[in-house]
Amino acid sequence: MLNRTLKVVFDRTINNVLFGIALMLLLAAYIAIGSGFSGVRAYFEMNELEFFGAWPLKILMALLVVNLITVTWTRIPLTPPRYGVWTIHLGIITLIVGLGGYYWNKIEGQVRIPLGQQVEHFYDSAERALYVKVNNEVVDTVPLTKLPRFKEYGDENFNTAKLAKTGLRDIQPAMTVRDAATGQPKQIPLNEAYGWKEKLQVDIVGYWPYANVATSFSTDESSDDVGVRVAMEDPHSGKLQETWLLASDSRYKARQIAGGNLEVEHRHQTDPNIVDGLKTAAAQILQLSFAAGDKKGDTFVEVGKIYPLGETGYTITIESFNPQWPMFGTGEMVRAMTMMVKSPTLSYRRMILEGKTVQTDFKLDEEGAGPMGKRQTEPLDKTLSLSFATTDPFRLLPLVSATKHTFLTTGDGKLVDIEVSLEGKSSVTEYPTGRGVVDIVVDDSGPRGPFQPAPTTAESEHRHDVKLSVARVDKIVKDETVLVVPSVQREREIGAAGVFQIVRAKLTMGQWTKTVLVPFTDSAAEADAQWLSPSVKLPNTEQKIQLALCNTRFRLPAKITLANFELVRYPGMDPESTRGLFRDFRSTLIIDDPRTSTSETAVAHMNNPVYFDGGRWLFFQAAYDSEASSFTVLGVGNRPCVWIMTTGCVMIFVGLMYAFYLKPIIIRNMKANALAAAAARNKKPVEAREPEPVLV
Amino acid sequence: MKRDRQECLPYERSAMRNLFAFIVLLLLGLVSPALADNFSSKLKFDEFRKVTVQDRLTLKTFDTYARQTINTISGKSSLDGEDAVYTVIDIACRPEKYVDRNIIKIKNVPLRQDFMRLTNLDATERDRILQEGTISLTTWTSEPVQQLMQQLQAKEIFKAKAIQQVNEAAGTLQNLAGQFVLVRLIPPSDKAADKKNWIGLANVIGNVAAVRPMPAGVGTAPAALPGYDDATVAKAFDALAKVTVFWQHEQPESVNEQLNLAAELLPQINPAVYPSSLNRAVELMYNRAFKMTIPGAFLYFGAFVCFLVSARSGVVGVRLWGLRIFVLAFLVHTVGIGVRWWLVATQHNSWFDGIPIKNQFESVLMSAWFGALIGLVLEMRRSRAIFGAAASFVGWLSLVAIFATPYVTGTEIGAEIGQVAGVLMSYWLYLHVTLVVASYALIAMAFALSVWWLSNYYKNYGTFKRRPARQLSGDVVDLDEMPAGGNVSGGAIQLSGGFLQTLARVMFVPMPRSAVEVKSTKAVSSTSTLSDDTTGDAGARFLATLDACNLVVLQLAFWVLGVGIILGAVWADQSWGRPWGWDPKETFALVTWIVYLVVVHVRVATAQKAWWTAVLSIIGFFVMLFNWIGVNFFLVGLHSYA
Repeated sequence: MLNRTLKVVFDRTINNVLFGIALMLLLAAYIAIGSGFSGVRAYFEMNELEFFGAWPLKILMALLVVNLITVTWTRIPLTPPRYGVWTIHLGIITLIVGLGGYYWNKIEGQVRIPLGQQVEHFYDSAERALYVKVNNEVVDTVPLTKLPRFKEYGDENFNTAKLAKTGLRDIQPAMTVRDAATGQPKQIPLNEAYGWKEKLQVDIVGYWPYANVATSFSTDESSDDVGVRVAMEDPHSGKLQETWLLASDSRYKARQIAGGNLEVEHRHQTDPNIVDGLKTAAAQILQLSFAAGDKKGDTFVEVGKIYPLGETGYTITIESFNPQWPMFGTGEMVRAMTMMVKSPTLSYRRMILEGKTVQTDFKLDEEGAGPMGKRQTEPLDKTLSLSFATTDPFRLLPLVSATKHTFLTTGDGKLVDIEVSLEGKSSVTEYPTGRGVVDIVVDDSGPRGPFQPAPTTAESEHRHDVKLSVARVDKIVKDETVLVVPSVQREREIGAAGVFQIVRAKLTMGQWTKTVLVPFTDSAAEADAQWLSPSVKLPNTEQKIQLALCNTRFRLPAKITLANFELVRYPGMDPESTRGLFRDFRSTLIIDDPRTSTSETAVAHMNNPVYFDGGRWLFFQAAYDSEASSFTVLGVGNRPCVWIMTTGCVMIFVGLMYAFYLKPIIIRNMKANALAAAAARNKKPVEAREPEPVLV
Repeated sequence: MKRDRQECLPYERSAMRNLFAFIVLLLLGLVSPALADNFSSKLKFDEFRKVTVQDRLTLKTFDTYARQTINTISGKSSLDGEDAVYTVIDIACRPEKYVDRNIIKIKNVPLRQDFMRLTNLDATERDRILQEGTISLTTWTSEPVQQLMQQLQAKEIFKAKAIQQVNEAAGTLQNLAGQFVLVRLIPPSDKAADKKNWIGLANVIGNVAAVRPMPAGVGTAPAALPGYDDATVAKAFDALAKVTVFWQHEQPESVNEQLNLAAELLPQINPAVYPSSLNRAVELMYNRAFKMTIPGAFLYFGAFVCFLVSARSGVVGVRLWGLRIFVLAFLVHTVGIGVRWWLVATQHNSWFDGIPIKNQFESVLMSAWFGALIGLVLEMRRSRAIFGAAASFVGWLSLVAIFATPYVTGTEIGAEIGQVAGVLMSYWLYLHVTLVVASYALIAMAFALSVWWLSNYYKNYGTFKRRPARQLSGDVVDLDEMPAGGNVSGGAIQLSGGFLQTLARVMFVPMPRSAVEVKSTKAVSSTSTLSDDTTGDAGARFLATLDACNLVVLQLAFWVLGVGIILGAVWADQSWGRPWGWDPKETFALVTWIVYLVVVHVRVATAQKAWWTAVLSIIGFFVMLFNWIGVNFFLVGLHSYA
């Protein structure tokens, strides 16, 4: 009885064509829903790859394979007309097996390679990890495979408990060290590595897929921190713009303000000797060395000032300092200083370059000469030799803006403003009350936004005199809250890239706890990555810990250097343009294979990836630096089971051709042969027929 | 709940109005010149419209450039019924006539609604913007409007694309207004730093002695560009400068004279890089002939009617005329593709890069062509009029669709020749897309046959429902078998003699009587053992014949789509690093293929094979249509350019 029931069930399911059709329709429905309704995927916290790798699809696929095998074996006789169907079914099974193997072993991600640099790692395209720094050094990467992706979690949403999963709770960062006995690498907890008494534990207690961290500053008597508030009135809108500087937090230590015209930095220094050293250093950035005959000397100089050169009899007036001077011929960018030189007999202009021996003189008052004078191929005065060097041990020079203000808060309640311009000018102003006003010039004649009218007036109209109010703020505290970006303001591609993800992490060490917001940081393990979470001083230790959220990093199968990057433009395109429609993007790569110690040069470009390790890996052109073409982004992926899938596809194709076009011919021939045989036997002709399909 | 006319949403009214305007334009297109003003009616652009301009990374005739420019600004092919060439030059020479006119099109209706927030515009103007969807350059660049757009871009990021469209329209008008000197009419010289970039008159001022001394306060003249014959450049410059002056003074004879002179001189500046006069003339004719879509559609429709009548009536002569018209339509269609291929290839200096299958217009054009080719071969070989009817129907519908879509929906589908994303410059594109769009044409043919089958089924049985008894299906029809006996197909006819004799008769070659004897299809195997409809009436047997034809087309569609998907996976592996990424376009192509996979299996597992085939084929068609068109609009994925 049981056997009979099982037989009926078997015949109506696994051994049933209609059941197979139902499975196919379910597969189609699953795929259509998963692909067409992103909300369904979001509900289950899955991206495409996760949704199409989930158990319902696996079960459907497995059932389909079993159904195919069973039906093929029991219902389709292995006769010449049926070879096609057999091949197709076996091809489908092979393809499904290949796909299973492919996605089981698949690794894929991206790597950003700056021009001329070598990389050894890439970042996974989907999996995220918590990166841990101790004292500014990355010590651990903890994969967060269970981290949600689409919905918001946290106390604000009353669903923190849903994050209580293995992998998101009780994370104990560790450090990889080499075992003294075996010499093999091993992981030890950070408390062991640093000798802490208590274990450090990290729990993920909040997640936001698309949000910003809003920071506010206030004062609190319990705080011993000091900061600086900088405020200026926008020359266009008249609105007050406020910036906070906090030396104790690397993220708020320095800022660019006034549309990039100005760099401001805060330093808190209680040692009066160091404060004096900083003040002095501002005027000693340009060091000039001179030699005339046997008379030599050094002096610190500033633009606009006159200096007698010791006992040489020469006097110089420093006219300008240019930190970005393109050298004649080579175009190499060097620092250049121009000065007027006067001796008892000669007066001329001289330009000298840092680190170069060349001295270019310009003869004054020559007819037809430019404003600098007539350039000489040989120095007018070979007696005088000048050179200069920039010395900035305290990093007072601006990095990108024209001017930098370094605000010092001192132990005696003062505020000191050290101003240094790229031209080498400097000034020091003290504000004993801790408050002051700095006069600055804002030049907004730079690139225009899409809605700003094009500049039509003289450049001077774009220069605005602005007063910068600066104030020292003692007992400052910083509060960080999550600001969820409304859905109408979200950009889909940026959201998919995950750059606005934030997790809230709770750090625990014994009785001590601290909650921090950890925003996503692109390429977090690279040296130039800016981690956006605060550095937290651990109790009773000398260490500071900092966290970052980023995609998991893996080692590349080869070391890759970007030797060249080329944008191939269409005719009619601005030759300088780095945005728009391009014909091609070409990255010339030098690939060093660590196993064979060989190196090869290859070009990855559109539709033409570079295959490595006999096709087991490929590197393809994925993105580029649309600002300056200074880096390329390569897609990286392995290619497991590709040959199995290819075999499956070929079998399906061959089988289809056989079933659709060869089978009718075979049947026709069989029919003709049967008729001929019947005629030969001199019997009544019987029309040979194709066997009736097995109906279910 | 039924809505009355007053409840019609603005975008619905807009679409209806566009459709109406489209029809009226078609009917009255030739009358429009009569509306032109006196000055414009005396202008002759026959030569000047053929000069070459570099615009949007493409070399094109001034005529094409002008139409595209007016279309970008206003969303229409012409303004005030004037020739687009006239309007473009008029904007360049007399910008004051246009900057305050409401000619900039705002295509996005929700964006128009945002203008209701602007209190500096009066209520009437706000309503007009909402209704008409147009705005002037002055209003668009005004501070309140720009502030509103900034707010929208910051707070409602999904409107960025809509704002970009208006920005592009306004930018095009702004760049053209009074700026004839910026239009890139001058070919690069052999010594130019960038030998592919054309330049405007403003760039060659240094080569024109007459204008080199700059007025006080303007600065110094730029250096002369190397490699040009300054005398020729100066003459062309002078002619175009005079066009502006004479135009402003409305002296049509003088304008005509200078335009013709400029049209003669511009190719002489560097004949080596200037497109040939044949190339330019062909481009002009191609555009004038609606890119061969309307002539092709007209002929396909004629063929479709003939095939339909023939299939039902059994009149051989009508079918022959259907074949003749169909061949003519196919030739026109082929010429359209060939001309386009040539024109695109000259842009790239490569026949390979020029294969026109890189945007929606071209893929539909090619899809219909493949459908027509396969339909023609099947129709000639297995003469039924049924294949011809299905293929000509698909050809007609496709060509009408690609012609009408930009006018009715305001959506640009790539009808104008231009550049595409570099990723599409691959031989994999041709293999993958060609096969996929060919399968789409076959799926559309199967859809037509299935609808035909269902309508005949309803006619025969009075219901669309599946009848419980087993039915005749195409499995009992041997399309290759030459039948004997009466006309049992209900109209499906067959000529004896096969492909060559059919071809001969199409070509009006007289054939001996015996060879052209009309024979009907056998349609049903005499040994069929089906329980009812075994012998079947004529209607049932016609259904079986239709089903057999449908099966031929479906088999082709099934494997062609399958191979297309697999080749797409190979391309994806190279381009995106994995063969299958569950991208919406991929997944819905797979869903379409699975639907036809089910069709294959229901023919084994059910008794009502033909009914299931027809129903699933119709479902498959809509899944395919969603994949081809719908996914582009509703879903976001890697195939965003497709």
